[in-house]
Amino acid sequence: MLNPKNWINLYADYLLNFAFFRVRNRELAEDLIQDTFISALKSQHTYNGTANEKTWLTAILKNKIIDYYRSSLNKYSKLTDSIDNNTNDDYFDEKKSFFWAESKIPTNWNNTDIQIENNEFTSILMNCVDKMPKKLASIFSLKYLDDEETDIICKDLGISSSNYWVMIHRAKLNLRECLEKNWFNA
Amino acid sequence: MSLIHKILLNCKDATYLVSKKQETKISFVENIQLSLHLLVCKVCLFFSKQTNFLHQHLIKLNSESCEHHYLQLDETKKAALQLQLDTESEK
Repeated sequence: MLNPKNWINLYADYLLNFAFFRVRNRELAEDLIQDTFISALKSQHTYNGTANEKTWLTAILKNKIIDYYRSSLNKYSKLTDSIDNNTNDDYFDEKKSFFWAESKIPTNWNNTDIQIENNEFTSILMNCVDKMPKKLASIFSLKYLDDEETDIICKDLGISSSNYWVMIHRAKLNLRECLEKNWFNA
Repeated sequence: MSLIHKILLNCKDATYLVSKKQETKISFVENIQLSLHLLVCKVCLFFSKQTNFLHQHLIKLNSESCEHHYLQLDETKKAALQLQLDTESEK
């Protein structure tokens, strides 16, 4: 049984955190939860009672988030294609049989296990996610922040699976380097 | 740089396999190539360990993200939103 009278009270904060973690923008997160509540209200008749209210609302929000990524990815793909292609091989030096480029060679990280509980580390990590090129950030966020299955991401965003792996890999190269600069060697 | 880099697998392809292996299965041959590469290439081993660490950390963050309630919606916004829902319900 749905009870819209209690939705805001019970679920607004939960859904706000859920959305913010995934889209990394407070204003956008607030817009998305507003949309979610309105859509939910209008589609109450589709609620069949198998999921609880919270799960049902979360599923609607998840769809809103995927829609957002799909449209932002389309918007950014033309914009960033050239940039992405140029930086594609910067990490590796063709003249050295694709060994790591001099300035990109990873260094050893100390005490990675200690960082797990460190909130400051987590905030630097999320800053690095925020600084990624938009296109990579969209794919990366769906995978890691939304835990979406690979084939669903590819289908939703209209990309091939090999293209997907390349982008996930570039996102990891990017994120690892950012953390090394801003945390481990800072 | 070793012979393995030149004839078996270069760093660019090795790190790609590292990333892919974290998400899905790679083939038997790819697995052997990658293992041999990581045996001789300290730098790619760093990459592998560090991205594994990030992978695990992000998965953990994801599962914990909502329990924290770091953010709260302003009371005025909550009231406005509730009012909007109430008005919509009556339509």
